[in-house]
Amino acid sequence: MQTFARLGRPVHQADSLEELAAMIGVSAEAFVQTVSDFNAAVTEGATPGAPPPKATLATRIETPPFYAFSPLMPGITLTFGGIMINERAQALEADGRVIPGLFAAGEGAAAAFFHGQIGIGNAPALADVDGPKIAGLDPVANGRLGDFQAVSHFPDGLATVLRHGILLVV
Amino acid sequence: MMVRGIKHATGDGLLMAQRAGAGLKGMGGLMALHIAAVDGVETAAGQPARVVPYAISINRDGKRFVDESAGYVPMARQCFRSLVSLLRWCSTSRCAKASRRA
Repeated sequence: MQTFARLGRPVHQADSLEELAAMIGVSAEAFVQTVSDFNAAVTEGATPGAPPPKATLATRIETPPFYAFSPLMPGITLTFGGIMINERAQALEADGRVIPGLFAAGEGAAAAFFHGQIGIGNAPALADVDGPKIAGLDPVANGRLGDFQAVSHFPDGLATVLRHGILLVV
Repeated sequence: MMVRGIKHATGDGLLMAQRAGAGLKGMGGLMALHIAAVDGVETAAGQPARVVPYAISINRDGKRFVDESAGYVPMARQCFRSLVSLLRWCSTSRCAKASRRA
């Protein structure tokens, strides 16, 4: 909640469930019923009888003020995979042939899979060991950034682009 | 580095590389739905993920739909299931209407 306050994003707060429901735009009747069913089902930190059951960390919601984060949306964490590359961070065609001038690193590249391991979040895999060095390039002296839309997302320039593993064209 | 919810993670880098002929690998993992509920504006910084297991999560009907203590992947799956059933309901009701008209 401190983070949301720092960001200037609202965490709805109300002294009654009805009031909170109005704030987040759901039916007060349905919401109060949901909370009441949930509370009634809480047994030793779980709600085996609630629809759907909650296995653990269940506590009754009965003491105001009540809080709500709303609205929320889906935020993607990772894809697991990415662009096929070799040990020099060169992008590959599906059959393994090198695509001249196209490099990929970080989250955009399937680096963890290149090393033959299943890793979660391969962003640091190449970024930590300096993508351009692996690619055997001096991107500042020899390279130019592609006019890709993705590149323009990063106003801090090349270092950020590489850190985030967006495509580098030389 | 936490990249969840960053606005740049749109997949356009992957699409551009594909247009240049690059292959993709390991993308089946995307189907695991590592997708968490984040704030609608501050998508990267505003993430109540640590609160969710202790709270209840409700849909627009004001109803619970998932075991909140099970983590964000089951939640994403449940959201998509609801979406699919909603779409199915829409399409079947449209079919029903169409067949009544026919």
